[in-house]
Amino acid sequence: MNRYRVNQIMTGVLNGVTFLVVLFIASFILYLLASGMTAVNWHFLTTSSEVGLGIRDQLFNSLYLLLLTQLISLPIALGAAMALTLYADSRSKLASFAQGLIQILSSLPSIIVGLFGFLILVLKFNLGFSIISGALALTFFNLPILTQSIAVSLQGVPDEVMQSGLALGISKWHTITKVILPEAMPGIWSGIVISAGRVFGEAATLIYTAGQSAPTLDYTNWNPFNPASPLNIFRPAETLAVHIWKVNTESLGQDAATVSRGTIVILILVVLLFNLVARYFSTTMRKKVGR
Amino acid sequence: MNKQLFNSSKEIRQDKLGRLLVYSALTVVLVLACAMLYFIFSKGIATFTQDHINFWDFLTRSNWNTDNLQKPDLGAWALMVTSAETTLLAVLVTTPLALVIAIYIVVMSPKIGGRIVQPLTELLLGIPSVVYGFVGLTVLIPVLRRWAGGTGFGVLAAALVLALMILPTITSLAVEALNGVPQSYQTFAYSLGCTKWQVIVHVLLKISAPNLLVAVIFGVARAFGEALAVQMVIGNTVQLPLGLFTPAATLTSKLTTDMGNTIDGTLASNALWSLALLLLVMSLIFNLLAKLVLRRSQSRESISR
Amino acid sequence: MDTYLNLPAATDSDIVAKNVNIYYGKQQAITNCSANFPRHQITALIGPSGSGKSTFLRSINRMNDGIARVEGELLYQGQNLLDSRVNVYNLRHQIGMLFQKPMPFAKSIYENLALPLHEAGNHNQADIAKRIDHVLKMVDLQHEIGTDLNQSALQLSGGQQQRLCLARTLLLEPKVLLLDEPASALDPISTAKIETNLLSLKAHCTIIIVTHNLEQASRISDYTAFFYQGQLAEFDRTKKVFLNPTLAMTERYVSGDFG
Repeated sequence: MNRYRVNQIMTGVLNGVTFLVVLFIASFILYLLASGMTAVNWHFLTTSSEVGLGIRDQLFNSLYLLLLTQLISLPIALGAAMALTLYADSRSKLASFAQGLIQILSSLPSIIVGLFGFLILVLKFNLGFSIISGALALTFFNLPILTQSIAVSLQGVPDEVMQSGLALGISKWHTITKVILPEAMPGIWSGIVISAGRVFGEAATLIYTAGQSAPTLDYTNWNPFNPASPLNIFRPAETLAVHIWKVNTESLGQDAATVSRGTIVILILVVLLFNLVARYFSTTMRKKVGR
Repeated sequence: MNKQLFNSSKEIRQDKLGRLLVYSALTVVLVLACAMLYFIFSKGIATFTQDHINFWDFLTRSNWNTDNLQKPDLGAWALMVTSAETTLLAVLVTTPLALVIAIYIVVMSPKIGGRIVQPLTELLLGIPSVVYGFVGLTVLIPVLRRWAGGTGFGVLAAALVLALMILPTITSLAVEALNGVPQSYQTFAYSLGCTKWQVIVHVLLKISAPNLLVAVIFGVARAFGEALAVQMVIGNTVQLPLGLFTPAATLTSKLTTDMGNTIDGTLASNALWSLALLLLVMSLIFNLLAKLVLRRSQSRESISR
Repeated sequence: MDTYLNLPAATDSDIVAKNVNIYYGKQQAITNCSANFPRHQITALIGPSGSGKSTFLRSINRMNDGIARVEGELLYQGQNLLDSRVNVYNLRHQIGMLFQKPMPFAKSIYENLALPLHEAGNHNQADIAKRIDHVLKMVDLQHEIGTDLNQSALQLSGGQQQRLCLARTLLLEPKVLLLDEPASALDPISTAKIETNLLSLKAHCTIIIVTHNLEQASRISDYTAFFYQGQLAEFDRTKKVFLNPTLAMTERYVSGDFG
């Protein structure tokens, strides 16, 4: 058999296998959406799981936790990424030590992060199973990933931009905040959105920090110190992802499957939305500002 | 004389503020990392220092019995074997597929690859792990049950769920690895009359081999550390996985199911922290491996240039 | 190594170097460099790659801080600018610099020019507009880009970008202008435009330019400094250096034998 024949056969195999896998992935996602669509309706989205099969509170909890997590992690990740890329000498011991540590942190299994959160926040600091425990644990999970992605975006801005700013007598800090940061922003936004997707679907970090129960919330009560208030950060808060895990390990039978399928549709739609937004930032926005 | 040169200015204050802010942020991250490593380490060794469980026994025995406090029979061997087995199976299934898809995206059809195949695998990357667990539970397990009898729960179910989960991880890293090979190498090989297949095998795969290996290592790390999806389909019984359909438990699934039922400070709780420590150590080892592979390939590259 | 320095009087010079040594870690990049850079004249720094001329140039506005160690004295109007008490930001307002790659900020033309003024404490809109208008005229950009200063600076051609950067540097009215191969990335027409700009800037600026383009050096400079292996080998009037250099080594370099 000559090499042309081999080439023909092997490229055919490559195309064929890819086609099959793509077909499989597509049908997997379509199956998830189709089998859950019937469960999703207004009632499902607006009732509490305590009184029916709705996911109203879980949906709110997920969004609330996501918001708090990003609010806490973003400034820290931004600062740490700047320190690593724009301040510390990249060949120095400190920089390589810090980078190594952040790499380790980012590849830790999320259950470990969750257990650490459980140990420190729930037990040691006595915060209990609460939104604040969950948000901080998610921050532990999110920080290294976000730091790394922001660092990559900052590195994408040419060194000479910093030099030009400094040579104009602009302070290093203002060169960073007024020139480099705006230029890196599309990349940073896309990193934030991607990390938001991961945080939104994360469950292992939360089962022992934010807890596995969703007490019915009173959406007319905006006093953050009232236990029934959705804003209260000291109440336990089950999220969508934890809800799926919970109902399926407790085996609620047919109801569990229906609730899960509906919840999965919501999760996937949100992740899909995040993906599209990230794609928008990394292509359209970059074209607008890019060099 | 030019006195102005020595005057302080707002720029100097701005820089002090900036340096303070960024280094504080970095300190927070580093302290967090160190705290995490320290606390898990110190909790994890309490089983051996406080409860006087023999370390070697812990590594080699397969029972998990913490009820009898006088004579506890504790060992992580079965959990470790199950973790390793599910991970290995998953990687064996996924790696060839991921490579094929990556090659398709980079070489065969960058257009369709970039517009359809890559976004689709990226979407898979974003799907939460509990969703994989749920599909394993409701679709895969009934199929396995019909096909092989028994409950369907077990090592194979976990491995297949993991295989799908790490497909996007390995694929996207493999795409990066293949894209790292300069386009000119391909062009040069084609100009010598190589067929596409020859270019793929002798140029692309050969040059990017270390980075592809790193992609697989990260896939392994993700599979090894995944907790909930595995816990949902593996059956959660601590025993040596004798067959593919034996219900078993992994390090992660054991942690998931039991941590909520133990009281802090007791042997049952400490023993779980020892599992967490094992998991942490494995994660460090995967990291180290990836680093070693990269360093070796880089040093070889720098010699050949 | 032989050296031949025919320096102009220090009293007529804006920048005076006395026994300057520069080190990257343990490696020495510049050895014992002493030179005077005459006021309102153009001095070209020439020499093969790695001869240390860029390193020397970047020390004059302290861009080497944190990268290289600079010893000796660099006097700017009689003050040692290497003094640790010198406020580098105030210094850089007076000693401007233009780099090899055109590097406008990823902003509009207006913002590119307004930012350094804002940062220097000028918030008077009318004054800013007047200054911007002035520098754009100086670099001859005005008729090329028209009145739309809100277009992105990155949409300009390479040559226009570089002249925008020159304008940006001139906004703060520096007394000394340092140029690090400012035209090496540009086409001949853009290069000629930059050279014309520099010749007219001489009236109120002391200019020091690093260049690999020997014709450029001979076209625009009044004095030429030839660097070789980290030393200032020859310093003289440009005509002398190019037509009748004192050192054989300089002769070989300017006639293109090596470099």
